[in-house]
Amino acid sequence: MEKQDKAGAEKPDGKADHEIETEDETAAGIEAVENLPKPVKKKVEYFEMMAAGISPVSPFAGKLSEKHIDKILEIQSKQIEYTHETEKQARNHFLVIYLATAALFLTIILSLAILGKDSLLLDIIKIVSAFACGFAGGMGLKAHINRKK
Amino acid sequence: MPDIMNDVDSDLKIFLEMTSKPVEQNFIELTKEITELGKEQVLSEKEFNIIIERLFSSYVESLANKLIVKNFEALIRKGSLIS
Repeated sequence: MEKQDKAGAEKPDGKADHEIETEDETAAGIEAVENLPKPVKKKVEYFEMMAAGISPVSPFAGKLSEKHIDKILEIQSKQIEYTHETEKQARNHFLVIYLATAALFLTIILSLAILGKDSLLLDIIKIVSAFACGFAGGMGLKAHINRKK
Repeated sequence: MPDIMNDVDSDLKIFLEMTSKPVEQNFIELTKEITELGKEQVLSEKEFNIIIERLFSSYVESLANKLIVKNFEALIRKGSLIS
């Protein structure tokens, strides 16, 4: 009984004095912030959130409706489509250039072989092989660096 | 989405302004603003005291959080937490 008196007298609703005081202080604090002008009130709320390490809720969050979400998703899907289309076009261009170059070299090599100019053919094959090795090596190195990232 | 922009314009400005500054600077500026409101008697003395107390305790809380994070980082660097 003595211990209870020291800690604070129990009220009939089961709350100690210090609990009632804390509740009063909290209520007074909430009321004081409510009475602030709107911009200052917002600043105090954001400040308290930031200080507590909670990321303040963006003012956009409460305002977004289904329509806005649909629109955002639509824009995103368009963006994905556009990116995919661009990549596809780039791949097609690369393939066309690759095939044209290969056809050109093949024609030159075949013509020289038919004409019997072996020394020139050997030089061309050496140059083409060096070029192809360099190109393949570069591509491999790039892929390796990308994988590391 | 211009309708959203109109609705949240002032809130968004405050939000961006606050999040772009460190807590210390926000604390100083907000304390100054509250002091001005106290001087202009927009707030009663009791309200002024309560708000300043709230701001101060929030600021202390943020400092404590930073200290905890720093100590954790130091412990992780030392390897104390891993072993």
